[in-house]
Order: sequence, then C-alpha cells, then structure tokens
Amino acid sequence: MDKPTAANPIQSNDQIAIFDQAVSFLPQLYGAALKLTRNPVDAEDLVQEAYAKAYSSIGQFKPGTNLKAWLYRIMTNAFISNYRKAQRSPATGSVDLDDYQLMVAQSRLDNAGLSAEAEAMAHLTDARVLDAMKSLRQEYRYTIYLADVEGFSYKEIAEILGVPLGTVMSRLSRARAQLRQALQPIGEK
Amino acid sequence: MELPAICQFTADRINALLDQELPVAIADQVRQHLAACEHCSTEADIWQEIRQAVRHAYAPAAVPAGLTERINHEFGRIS
Repeated sequence: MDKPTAANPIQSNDQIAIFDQAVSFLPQLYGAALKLTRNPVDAEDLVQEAYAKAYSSIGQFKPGTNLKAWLYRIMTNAFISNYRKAQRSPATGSVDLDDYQLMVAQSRLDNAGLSAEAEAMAHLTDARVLDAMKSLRQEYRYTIYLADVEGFSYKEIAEILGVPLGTVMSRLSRARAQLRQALQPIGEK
Repeated sequence: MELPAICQFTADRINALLDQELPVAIADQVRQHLAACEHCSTEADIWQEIRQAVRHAYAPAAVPAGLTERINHEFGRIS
C-alpha cells in the first residue's frame, strides 16, 4: 500500500473497511444534515464536507469506538464552524455567539433524533406493537387497549376498571411511557 | 438539556389532548404551544403514531377497496 499522503490518508485495509462503513451511514447523516441546515443544498454540502474531513482524519478514529457518533461529531463541528463564519462575515459586532450556536446545533440535532423516532413509530408492524404491548403489565396493557382501541373515555375506563379517575390517568400515563420505551428501535442507540 | 417549563407543561398533557380529555381552555393553550414548538409537535406526532399503531395492531384487518367485489367476480357470484 502507498504511504499516506495528504491526497491519500488511507493507510491500511482496516481503514478502507472503516470508510466503507462510514459511507453506509450516509442516509442517517444526510437526514441529520437536513435537520441542521434546513435546506437540501446546504445539507448536501455539509455531508460532503463531513466525509471529506472524516477521510482526511481517518487515522484519528479509534477502531472499536462508535463510528457513527464520530461522524456526527465531525459533521456537527463543521456545521458550527460554518455557522460562525457566516455570522462573522457580515459585521455583526463583537457578540460572542458560541454558546448560542452550540445550543442551536444541539437543539436541531435533538430534534433530529426525535424526528427519527417519529419516523420509526410511523412504520411499526402490528407484530412489533403486539410484542411491545405483551411486555407490559396486564393492567397497563388493558388500560391502553380500552383507551386506544375501544376508544373509551377516562371516566368510562374508571367505571370499567372500578378505580378512581386519577388512577386511570396515572396508569395510562405510565403505561404509555413504557409502551413507547418498548417500541424504541433496537440497535439504533 | 432541561425542557423549558411550557414544554414540560405540554409534555404532561399531550396524551390527554389526543384523548380529548383536556378542558377547552387548557387544550387551546397546549395546541397553541404545539403550533409554535418543533420539539413538542414532534412529541405529539410520536404519541399519535403510537396510538394509531396500537389501534391498527388490534383492529381486524380492513379489506382493501374492491377486493370483495373481485373475489365475488372470481367465483362467478353476484353480490
């Protein structure tokens, strides 16, 4: 293999494998870039820039650590640094916006995670939902069933179950939280 | 990152809103916030998807439009 140069930082077959794996995360990364930049053209630029940076600093990636997280970090840093440059070019005064910029990037990425969850929840199979429901305690499962499938009001559920209204509300709330947890995509964390 | 108070207020009430169990004034307040806040409206989407998924999982499978007719035709029956 050629010696690593600025043009060719790849030093080993392992690094080729790492880069191949990095490319397989492109759909997720592009999705996150869209959430950050909020427009497809900038998102494409940002993803390209992130991969270029990943390529040139592939030697800094520690095998065995989370590659996807490493790529997200590179892309987030690139986004923040571009954002700073854009802020700096028009004379905007000397306000230090670093914390604000970080907050903007973070909240957009948090929401990207949330959007991904919403997307995943939109594509649940019946089997997956039934499995998740089965993992709940019987009283939780039944309360959700009465509310969501049968469409009973809280008051009706209270009568059906012979418990106070407040119990229905707290039970439903805990049951829903557990169901949502049970429905989280596996291996996506 | 801790949620702003209004987001926490909303998070505690999204399901009751979707269940149509909130008093009108509070429902309006929650809806107003959902319209303005990306985080909370995505949360509402997630709860709505879960609710629909549960309903779908337990509901008897809906027969696609026209299938009954096609099957009837297949067997030479007139319904």
